[in-house]
Amino acid sequence: MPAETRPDVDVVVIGGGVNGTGVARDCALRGLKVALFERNDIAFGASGNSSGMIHGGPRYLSYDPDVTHTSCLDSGHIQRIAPHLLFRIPFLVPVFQRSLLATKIALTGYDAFFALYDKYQPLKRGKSHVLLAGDEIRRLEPGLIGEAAGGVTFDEWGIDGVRLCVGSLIDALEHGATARVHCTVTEIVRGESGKVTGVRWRDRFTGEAGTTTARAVVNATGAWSPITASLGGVEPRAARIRPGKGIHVYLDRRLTNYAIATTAIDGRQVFLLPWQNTSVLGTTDDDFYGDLDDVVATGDEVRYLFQAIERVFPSIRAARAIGTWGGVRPTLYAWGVNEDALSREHEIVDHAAHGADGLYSMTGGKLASYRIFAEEMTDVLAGRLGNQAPRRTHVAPLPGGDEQVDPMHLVQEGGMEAVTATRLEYRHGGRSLRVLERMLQNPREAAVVCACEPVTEAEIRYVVVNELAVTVDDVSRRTRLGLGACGGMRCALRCGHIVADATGRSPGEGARMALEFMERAARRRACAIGPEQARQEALGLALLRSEVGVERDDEAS
Amino acid sequence: MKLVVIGAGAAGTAAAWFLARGGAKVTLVHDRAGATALYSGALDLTPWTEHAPPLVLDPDLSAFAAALTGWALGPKPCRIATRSGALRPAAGRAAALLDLEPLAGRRIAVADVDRDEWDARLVAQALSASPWAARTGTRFEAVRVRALRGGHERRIALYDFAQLHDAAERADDFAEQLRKTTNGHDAWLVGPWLGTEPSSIERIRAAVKLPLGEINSPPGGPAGARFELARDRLLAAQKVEILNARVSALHTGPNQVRVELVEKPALEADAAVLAIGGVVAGGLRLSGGVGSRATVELCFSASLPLSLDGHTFDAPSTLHGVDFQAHGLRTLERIGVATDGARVHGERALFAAGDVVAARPRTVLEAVRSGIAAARAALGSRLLTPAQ
Repeated sequence: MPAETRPDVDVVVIGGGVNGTGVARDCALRGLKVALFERNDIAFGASGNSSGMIHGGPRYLSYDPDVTHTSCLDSGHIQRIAPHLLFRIPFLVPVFQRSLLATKIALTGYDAFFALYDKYQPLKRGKSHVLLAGDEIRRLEPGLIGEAAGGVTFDEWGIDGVRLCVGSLIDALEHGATARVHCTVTEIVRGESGKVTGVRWRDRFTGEAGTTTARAVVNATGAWSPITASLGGVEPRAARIRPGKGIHVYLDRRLTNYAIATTAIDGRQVFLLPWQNTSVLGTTDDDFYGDLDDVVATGDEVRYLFQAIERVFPSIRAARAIGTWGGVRPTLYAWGVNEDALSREHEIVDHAAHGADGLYSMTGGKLASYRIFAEEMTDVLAGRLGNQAPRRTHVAPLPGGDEQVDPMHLVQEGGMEAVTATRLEYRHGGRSLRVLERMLQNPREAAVVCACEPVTEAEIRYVVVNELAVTVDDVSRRTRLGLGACGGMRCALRCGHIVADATGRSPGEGARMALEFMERAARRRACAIGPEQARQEALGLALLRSEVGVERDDEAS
Repeated sequence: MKLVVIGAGAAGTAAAWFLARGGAKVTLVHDRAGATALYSGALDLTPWTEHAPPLVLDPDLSAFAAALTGWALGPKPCRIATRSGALRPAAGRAAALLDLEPLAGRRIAVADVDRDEWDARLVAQALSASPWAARTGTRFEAVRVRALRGGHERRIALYDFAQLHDAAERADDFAEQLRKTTNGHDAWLVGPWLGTEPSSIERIRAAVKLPLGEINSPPGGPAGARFELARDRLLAAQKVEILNARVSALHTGPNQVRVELVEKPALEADAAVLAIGGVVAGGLRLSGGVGSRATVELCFSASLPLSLDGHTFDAPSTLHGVDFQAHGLRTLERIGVATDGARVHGERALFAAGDVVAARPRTVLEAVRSGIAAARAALGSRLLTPAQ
């Protein structure tokens, strides 16, 4: 071993989900030198495939009100640091006609329960619950079947999980962190004493490989955690989790004004959620044993959700499903417990106990509590590294969260249409002005490439240059390009050419990326195809054949 | 002899044309645009590949193309520029499209117009990098052209933009802009903007004095609209009766077909040609949805079983909808009505053509060929008496 040399960084973070980017940001804000590695893309796993809510945790109210208090408080913090990313989702819990007594008990129960929750609502700018009569429910949601005897509303906040992760990471980068995306850690290197000294990594696209030395390594890889821990010679079970697959179906428009909560055939709670410009139907929770890099919803999971919602909202049968998300929760490990009864708590595993001093695994957790989890992890790191800087992630704004932009300003200055401007402002907050600046410098970039979302060329180029996107899939994750009803039929190839152009690759490479994206998305839709979408799928296939031909690898000549 | 053709895409049009030419009294029933109205302007018999040359044409196809007008077909294959950056071979093309084959090794200007759907620089880059261009030394260069009047023209629908050039003054001005910005180029490649009337294209071409043509159309672009205009003229000239109606049911007997229509009196005929298209056109549809007993079926009531890969396609035994993850999405393209040649399997007076037929390539020329074959079989059917 050479004499003690100064390591490249203080902390290596493995994983670009909400926990990994959260820790990287916290470390960077406290002045620690940090490098982040992500095997796939930012928010590729559970973080980008969640229900998209920063909820206040009403389910903990009855047995652990402290958790509810912390969740609501943190929801308030996130609203302050990223106001542009949050949108209100009012929930409706209808109670259907049973016996007079049962109905009354149910309604009184809900009323009392949410009265308790109301106490925490001010922490997150939430509204108090309302007890509604049957006819009021029917007026608010005419699509509900007619037997509702009453119900309650309560208030939650929605968020785009990908934008949250990207925001955290960009903030970290702007405070001195470095990050490599599509770069897998191949080994967690340990010195003679067993102490962790850094990581070896390999870029999955370029094949470039290297070593980054560090004083501590954080395994924030969610469902991948046991695999990652094993790269450091630690038994996978030392960082074990209970992988719970959850899927969502998204539908082509907002079908309801309220999120509707109901129960599935097995008594689990599921919901139909108006989310951004779509509706989201979710979610499932099943043990998962498959490949984490390729989590796809199955027909059975989709049908389970449809069956649950159609009992209260029958017109869902005619709704047009345009895609599915699948993700795997890194739930805390427990044997002999039903998936749904598993704790949503989080834990930090210090692998010093397994002989790997300096390696930590973050297990469990949920989107809504990511900031606190990251803060706890960073506290441990700061303690280890003798850093005494104050905690700031709850007050320092995320990129774009520091400046309010009126979408109409974007309309007037950039000639965008109002929808384009509103969506752009949602995703980028104050940073939408930087996208606007691109358009003003090069008016051609104002072209709308994806009309469904919509997404402009300027935004595509912006996320390539500023947000580490290198493929069409990456761009889609950050902008929702190609996730509308047409499945990228009109925009993916063009986006491929733009990404290739912006990254100095050949147009053929751009087309290849676009095809990969479309194939991946089509696989994710196939389990949920209804009548309208079936025509679109057939048209998409025909168009691709017309453009690309029957052989795709004929570019050799 | 009285015949009904259902569907007015390439297959139905070809069938009606051939039947009328053969002396039959033809009524063509159609409703809504189908797959041909969405086509790109490329004419294939089989899906194209870079290496295998497109199939040689038969005389029926050439005769139909000549009658229809607006299609350039053979004898040699052509080469078409696509938005994906491929320079792809095709058996033929809509005449508005630029044929690159005679321009191999030349310098081609790509009109750089501020339309949202168009990025001349990237298109030129991608086309220049394609294998054919690299092999033949053909170069594409974006050249700035003023073609818009007012910012709104940047985002109006492609068809609407193309239609602006049906006005002589706009066509002349566009041609003038192209002419004066050329800088030693050998040809012009433009977006699908050259008017909707064949005369507009000719007017602009004559004024530019260089080979000039379009890139392929996206779905819903002018290529499909031009086909529909040409079709309507052809069928009017052939005195085919056109009925804009939706079929609700089809009943067949040994020598007779009864076609029931929505809100219109039913039609009786000696025979019928079914050219209603596949899933894209809506001739076949997925009934029900996720969460109901669903299957692929004809878009109207008729007791014709569908076939997939040589087997009868039945409703799956589930109350919860077809799962295309299990079947594969390509099922949507292989499924259709089974035929013995052109005649619907088990029927005597019913013939099928185009995308509704199982296990046929979903291409425009194949649709035409099968339309003609269905018409010929219907005319030749010994059960039918000749006209008059």
